[in-house]
Amino acid sequence: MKYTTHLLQHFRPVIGLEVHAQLSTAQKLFSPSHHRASAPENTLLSPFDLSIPGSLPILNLACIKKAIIAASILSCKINDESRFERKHYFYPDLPSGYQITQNRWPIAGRGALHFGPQKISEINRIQLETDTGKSKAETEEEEEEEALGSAVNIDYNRAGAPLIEIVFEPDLTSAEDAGEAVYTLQRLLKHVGVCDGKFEMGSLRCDLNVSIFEGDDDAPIPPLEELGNRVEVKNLNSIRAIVAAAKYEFDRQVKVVEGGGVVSQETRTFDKKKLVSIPMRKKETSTDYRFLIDPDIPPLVLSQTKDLDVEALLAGVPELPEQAKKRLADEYGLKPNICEILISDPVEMKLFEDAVKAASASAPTVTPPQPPYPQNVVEYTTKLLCNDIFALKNEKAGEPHKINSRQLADTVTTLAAGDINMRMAKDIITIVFKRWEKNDDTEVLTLIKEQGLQIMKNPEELQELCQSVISDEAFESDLQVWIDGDKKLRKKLEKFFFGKVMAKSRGLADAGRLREALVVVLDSSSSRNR
Amino acid sequence: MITPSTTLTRLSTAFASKSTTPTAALNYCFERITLSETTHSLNTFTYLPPTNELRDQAAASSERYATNTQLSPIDGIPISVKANISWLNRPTSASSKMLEHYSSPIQADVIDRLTKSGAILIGQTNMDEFGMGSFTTNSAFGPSINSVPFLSSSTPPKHISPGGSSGGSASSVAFRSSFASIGTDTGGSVRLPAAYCGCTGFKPSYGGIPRHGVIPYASSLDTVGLITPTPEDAKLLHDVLRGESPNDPTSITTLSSPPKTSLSSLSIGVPGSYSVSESHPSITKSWVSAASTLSDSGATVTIFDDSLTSIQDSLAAYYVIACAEASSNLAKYDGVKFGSRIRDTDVNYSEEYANTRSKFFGSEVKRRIECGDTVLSKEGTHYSAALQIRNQLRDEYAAALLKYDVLLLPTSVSPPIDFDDANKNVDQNEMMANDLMTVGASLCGFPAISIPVSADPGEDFWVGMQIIGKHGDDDRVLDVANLVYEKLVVDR
Repeated sequence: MKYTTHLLQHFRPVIGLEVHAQLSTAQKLFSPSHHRASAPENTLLSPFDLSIPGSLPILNLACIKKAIIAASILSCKINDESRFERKHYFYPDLPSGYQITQNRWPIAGRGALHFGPQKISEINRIQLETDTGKSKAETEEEEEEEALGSAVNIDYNRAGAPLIEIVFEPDLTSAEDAGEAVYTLQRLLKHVGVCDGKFEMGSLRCDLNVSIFEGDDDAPIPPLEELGNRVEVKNLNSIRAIVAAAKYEFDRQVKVVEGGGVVSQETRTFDKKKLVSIPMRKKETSTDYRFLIDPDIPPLVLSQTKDLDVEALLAGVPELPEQAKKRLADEYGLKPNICEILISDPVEMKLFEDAVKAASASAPTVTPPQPPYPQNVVEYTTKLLCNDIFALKNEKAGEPHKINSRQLADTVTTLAAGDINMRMAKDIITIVFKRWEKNDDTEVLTLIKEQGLQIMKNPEELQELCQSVISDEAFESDLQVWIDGDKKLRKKLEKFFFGKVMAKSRGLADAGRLREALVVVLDSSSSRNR
Repeated sequence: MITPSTTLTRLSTAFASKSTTPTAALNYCFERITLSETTHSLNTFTYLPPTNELRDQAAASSERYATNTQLSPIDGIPISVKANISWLNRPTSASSKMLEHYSSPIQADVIDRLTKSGAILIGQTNMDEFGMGSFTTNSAFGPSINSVPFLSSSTPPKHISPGGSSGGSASSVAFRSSFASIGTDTGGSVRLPAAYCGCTGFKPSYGGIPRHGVIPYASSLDTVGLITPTPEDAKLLHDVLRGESPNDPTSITTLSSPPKTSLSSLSIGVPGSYSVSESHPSITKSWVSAASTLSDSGATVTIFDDSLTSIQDSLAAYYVIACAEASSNLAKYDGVKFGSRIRDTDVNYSEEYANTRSKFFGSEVKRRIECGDTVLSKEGTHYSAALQIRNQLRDEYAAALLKYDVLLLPTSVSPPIDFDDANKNVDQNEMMANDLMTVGASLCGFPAISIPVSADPGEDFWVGMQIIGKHGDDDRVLDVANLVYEKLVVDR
């Protein structure tokens, strides 16, 4: 990415991400309450969420599991022992006067996020922590009051909800990369069920730190001390905002430096309407958090935690999109665009794979079927799935198909055997979908019989059909033209008769064999008439 | 016949043998409460439940004994609880203005276990605000007066401190306005008042009785403890309350060990490093005399001077850690969710917090919060140093307790404060120094019990002797305490 507006010096940004992801668990990190964003205000509260004196934190295993999965898919080092600490500051949405987090002993250490064709952002750590309540300012007046810090309505439902904070190294060099990295992360976390990824609901939140340096596009990032002061931009709640904030902050810092100034180290917030970053109030940039190991929570030692088997947990983690893409290409010989379509929904991918395997099983050479699968089976399955089934679904991803893999496989097998054609296959799938709605999952082979959707391949049968058409009085003159006609005229009439016979077969005739049969019948009638 | 010398165990036996009833015991306690609170104004209690409610409970308990269906050995026993133990929908003030009108929405595990065992919760006892103090002089509701001088009517009774922070608890048990009291011990808050009131004070191993529902002072030290007339009573009550709880991740179940029945097989270590020049001569004398009596009775008593080298730093380490955790634990009191509040819409929240906290916290609480804030600040190095001392001390105690079954040392350095002595200027730092004897077991999380020993005939205060065991050895400590008590107190 080039920032050509700055002609005299060539600056580049260095961007680091901090992503907060709310874990998709039924309970809060330290209390049994739910944390649904949709619940009425202040209805999801346990004594601990309100820091009732004497209530104690009880760590929830489900949250630990999600954090471990996140660490694993981001190739982070999982620490067997981690500890919880209190981070102190006063604010009305923080009931106990401290957030419980993992400052010095996080659950996971170094890892990396791969994104784009061949890009990477290094991860410093993943830590478990509690969320705060929400200040609710609904009118402009209330917003002003909140800004002054005088009157605030607070919804504590979110207080204590489980978060992981993923801290990245400052190693990104463009706003677009920052956006793409977060997009990839969002998709990954969602894919493995760690976080629903909804920026709009606050399930994902992102902070940026941005600094600049002078250098060519391919110059490496210089060491920390040679970079400009770092500016943090907080609370970015969409990928668009991340990209816009990174761009704005880069431009702003370049202007400061070009104007002879020094970028001051500060925390800013991004106004997504005006697309500018503004310095934050002092309270949100608190000076000293007075970290203290939480004396109420014993150290978390994974290998000694009851009902936790890390190996078994990780064995159950679904295949990651990038892995799946590569595997689909290798095993099925699929094109990248098809892989991309299939991996976007795990349900579709499974239907595809199951159907191909089932259809290939009828080829008796290898059982169970292994790659390479018969090419026509793969091709037909892909075509039916991507064209017809998706068209019929006409719904959001993730919803179940109204066809099972057995039905799809049978359709493909019959198609590959030449017993039906593509048009019939489409008809069959339409019927399957309709019946599915009536809770009827009749087998495809039964359907084919029932509907008479069998291709006519028998030469004698086909010749008989041709004979019946050309001996029809209505076509007597046409037949005469064929008999008298030259080669060109004959071809034309052959096409004409082909259409008539095909229509009479209700489309069931095998085209190639019908053509052969027609030639035989026409030839014989011509010799008869001579 | 119930008298001021009736013990919990004897009362329990009397209930079972039907020689008296819980109703009679309750009526006795009501009389004692009237005497201590109305006649003598000892300021023992911060809250007393409606009497008819208690009478109903005692009647039900009496009925259970009549049909031999009592719930436990403490069924029907009037027991008081310290004001920092959450009692569902009752005031739980921790003797602070901050919680003066607070009624707890939760029930402490220990209250739950008491009520399920049929105990009659007779009232909440006064304390140093949030447990911060050693003399019950830091209560927002005024100091408690030691009831012991009021037990004999011969001379005009002196006004002395019951010790603290569980001063109301100990004073109540000494006066038998309750037959046992549940206190909390962070650095000696059960043992010290028990010593000053001539009672037994037992601090189990850290986590031995669940903390859930106890208003925290310093979480890594706070331990629910018991004040009873005798060590035997403490064991009986401990057996009802002990054991881990799903509500407290730091709670543990200490294992029972075979009872110790004789002093002759016992090895007692006497840590000479606790012999400090500040000790009151009468206390030192009692210590020496206790050691020689036990030695004469067949126990192997060894005085050792080496090994416990961290003792000198332990008091400072204790206050650094306790204040650090207190500043964190008390950050929640801002008046927003519960508790007292100065509502002011003209100022922003931080100013409102400051106003609320400075008005409703007492001066000692504020002092400790400030101290804690300082030691936890980025520049502070005291906190990590204190943690190091704590670890070293624990190692040293553990090593000594490999050599000896238990350690024997006094519970306090000095006698209780004399409120009548106007010349005596009480200095907060001097008060803190009095905790030297007790903070060791607190920092280590080891079980410790204070048993009442008479001071010199010339002195009019009680002296407490502490027996400390290794972590989890709670039963051993209780058994040994009982043997020692019989030798030093009953036999004398």
